[in-house]
Amino acid sequence: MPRPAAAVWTVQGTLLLVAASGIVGATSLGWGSGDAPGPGMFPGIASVLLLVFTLGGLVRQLRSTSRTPAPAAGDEAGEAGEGANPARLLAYAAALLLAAFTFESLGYPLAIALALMVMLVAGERVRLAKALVITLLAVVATWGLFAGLLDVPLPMVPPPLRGFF
Amino acid sequence: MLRHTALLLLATLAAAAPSAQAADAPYPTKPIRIISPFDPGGTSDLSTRVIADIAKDILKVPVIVENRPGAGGTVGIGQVAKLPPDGYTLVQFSSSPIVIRPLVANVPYDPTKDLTYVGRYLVSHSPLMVRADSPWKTLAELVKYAEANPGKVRWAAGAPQGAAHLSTEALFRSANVKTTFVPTGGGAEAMLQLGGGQIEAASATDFAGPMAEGKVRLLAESGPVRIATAPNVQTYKELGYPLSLAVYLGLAGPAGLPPNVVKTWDDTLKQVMEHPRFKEFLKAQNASPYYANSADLTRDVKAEVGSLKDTLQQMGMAKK
Amino acid sequence: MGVIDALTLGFSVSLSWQNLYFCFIGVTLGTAVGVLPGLGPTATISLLLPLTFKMEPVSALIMLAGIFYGAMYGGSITSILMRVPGEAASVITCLDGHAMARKGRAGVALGMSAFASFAAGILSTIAIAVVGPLAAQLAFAFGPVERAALVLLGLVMVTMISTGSRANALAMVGLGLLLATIGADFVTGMDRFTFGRAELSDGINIALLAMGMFGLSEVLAMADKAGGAVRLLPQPKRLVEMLPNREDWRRSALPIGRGSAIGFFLGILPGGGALIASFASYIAEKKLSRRPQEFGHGAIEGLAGPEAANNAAAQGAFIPLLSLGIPANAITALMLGALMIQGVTPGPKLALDNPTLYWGTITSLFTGNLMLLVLNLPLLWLFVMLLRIPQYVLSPLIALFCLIGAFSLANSPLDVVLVVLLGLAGYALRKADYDPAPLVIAFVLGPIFEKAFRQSLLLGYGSPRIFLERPISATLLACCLLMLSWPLLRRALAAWRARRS
Repeated sequence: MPRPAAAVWTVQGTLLLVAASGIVGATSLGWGSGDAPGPGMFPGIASVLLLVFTLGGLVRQLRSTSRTPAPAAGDEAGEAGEGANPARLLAYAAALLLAAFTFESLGYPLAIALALMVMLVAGERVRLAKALVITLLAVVATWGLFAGLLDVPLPMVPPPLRGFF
Repeated sequence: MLRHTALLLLATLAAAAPSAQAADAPYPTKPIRIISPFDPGGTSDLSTRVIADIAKDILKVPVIVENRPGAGGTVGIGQVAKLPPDGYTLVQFSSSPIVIRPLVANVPYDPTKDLTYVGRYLVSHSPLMVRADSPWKTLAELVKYAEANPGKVRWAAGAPQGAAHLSTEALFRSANVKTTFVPTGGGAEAMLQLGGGQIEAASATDFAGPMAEGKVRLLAESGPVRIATAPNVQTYKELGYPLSLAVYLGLAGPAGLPPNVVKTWDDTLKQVMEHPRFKEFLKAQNASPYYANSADLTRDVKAEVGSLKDTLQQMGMAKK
Repeated sequence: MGVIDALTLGFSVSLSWQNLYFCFIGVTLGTAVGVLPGLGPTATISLLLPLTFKMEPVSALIMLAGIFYGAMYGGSITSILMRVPGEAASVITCLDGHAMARKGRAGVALGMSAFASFAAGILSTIAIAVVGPLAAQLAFAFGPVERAALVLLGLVMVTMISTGSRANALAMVGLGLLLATIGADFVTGMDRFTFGRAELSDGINIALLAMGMFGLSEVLAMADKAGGAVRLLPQPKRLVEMLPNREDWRRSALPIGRGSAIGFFLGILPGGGALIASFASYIAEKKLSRRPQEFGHGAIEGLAGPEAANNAAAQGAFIPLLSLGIPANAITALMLGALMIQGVTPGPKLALDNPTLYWGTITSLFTGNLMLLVLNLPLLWLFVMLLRIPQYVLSPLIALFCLIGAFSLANSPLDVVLVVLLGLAGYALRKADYDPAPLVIAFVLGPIFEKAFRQSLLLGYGSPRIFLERPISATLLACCLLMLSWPLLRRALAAWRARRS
């Protein structure tokens, strides 16, 4: 299993990294003692738990990989076909990140519109005109619902213009 | 709600560049926003909503309350401190993120420089209580017991590192007795533990119900103002202990708020103080009126920040 | 006053036209905002609070209560249809509810969810009427020591909800516990893993985690599937396919009863709450079921039980609120505030001093739940129609709602960034066969346990003996031990039987 395995290794590696830095952080916070736990005791225990069982999973996987070299990937019920569309996945992930990091600096309508266009045009291959219509409708509708009806103070415009509000 | 936002939008479109707002421009001409830096539902948040509701009739513009909770109020206050001082965004505050938190944690503003204090309106009470069936009739008796039994008096306060916690901790430290402080998530939880007999004493604002039922005995008030419904209970300060920190509420804006804005809100706050609904609110929350205008409040805050720092250092309670 | 007199008085209040009207507004609004991720009942109630200043206290409470349990149901709708839990209590609903929807049984899931909530509402209303003020005393007996032991039991059971491997589930428990420690340590006030951001000192909002790990990661999983304009889910064609059949009813009846009992009991305890209730019910059903392997793949028991439990818990929370003046969560805290503004101080005497308010509110829970059921059954059709929206439009819309929902939690732009990062992380974990459900549950239970545990040690003057000295906690700890050693015990038992025969 060439591709899914790589993804699994990356995730497990990241988890181990998180656990290790959790233990380092917990130590600098101070573990305290059993009678008087310090602020680092619980983060420490959690990190150790994460470390031990990620390693456990890793070992089990190493064994199964050496024994059965190529198990069918993603054959679980309902998960069939996942991993078949990396281009679309990438478009969605990029769109989400774009929206998140421009939500405040561009204001919500612009950030959301950009993200929707990326998802629709790059991800779903929707025609440009159709994508524009969907985006416009979605922005207007969510604005009316959240900002209008429910008074959520969404950032509307970039900060330099925000003196008006 | 829709109407407010529509007004807000119209007003924004109609407004000229920000610089056009000269100091003597008429105020207010568009909706005003008050940021409540706490979770919805507490005394702080509710008081803001009551004031906004009364103020909108006095000022003749919508007054909208928005919650920006986080880090004991410091997130919301920090955000408002960075906004242009046009008087259209104010922040409601409690004394804790202004006077206390800067001394024990990092906050994103300087309370003596980054804010214009508009006015103060309420002080809440947080008396030190024991169970009515406990042997301690006075604060002195409790302190004496704690002296004879080091660490045996377990007590809780509304919020860790809050005014009641610091005042009571200072009390025990100045009396040179060792006690056990049990941190809780809030006054309700502290009262629950007192009621369940898990702790010996509690200092919390949720005293009215249990007091009325005769379940608790009030030994002393941790704040500087005596309680209207229990006028015989003395404050820590009156009893000769070093700290009686107040939990009070007020309004502020970014530094450099125009004088006419401050004046308008000062007049509004005065009217709010006399409004029957506000008086009812104070009664329901077991709080007392605690009015101060902009100048007095600014002076008080400066003095409190300075003196508290000294006291905490003397008591060995300041942040290292 | 007898139970019958009390209920008669209560219904005379809650069935007045005026109060029926406010109840209707409450449940309708509640359902509507429950459907929107993030926004949730807390924000709605705080928006409507000034409106209640001028209302009768009982009408105000009836409306706010309607929003509360209406939102609980609304949250189930998005969880089932789109796997987007608007709030923590719906996480469990996602597991089997959405799995049912994937099999084309979305209508059945929605219908059973509505009915389970309704039945739990009725059962807990009766329970409140019968044991109400007495049950409040339980809150006093249940201190930090007992809470620590109870939550530990919960943590021991967390891995059982996972469909994947045990080791992976335990790793996710660790990650959940670790994420939960982000924020100021509540004993010392020290910041833990906040990277200098003041916004993080209150920790990550559970709704962010739920929306990221479930909602956004589901959107990403959809995007990664083959095909252009595939439909999200199969849809039922005829009305009959949208209603639970006899087999569904038979399988759900007992779980609903048990879920109601579990939920009601946990709802009374301060710091318990709807999520723990729905989670406990899920575990109980999986353990009791003869088909545990179906759980996570659309077992209706795994939907009906927890749905009943979280609604019963929502109603159980009214007991400490009205009888002790102690709010169990942010929503009941707001209701307490609304009552206080009106000059009503909840406490043990409320039922005697102000019976119209007390019993009027309790009976309104009954009428409100009936209203929800009547309202929602005809709407099933409409909700299932949502699935006809082509996936290339629906997926971006779900993503959009998650982003705005994240912002509206605390009006903070940082939360939008966080929900996206959590979504990407959630998808990566799924890819590597790590189940996000134990992570989310551990995230909720962790801080409760840490707080109660450290409080208990202080209460016990630094000695952990206090856990064994108090009978309730000692019993719960014995249960933990039994749970942990169960696999060994079972093997020993089997060996002993084999030798005998």
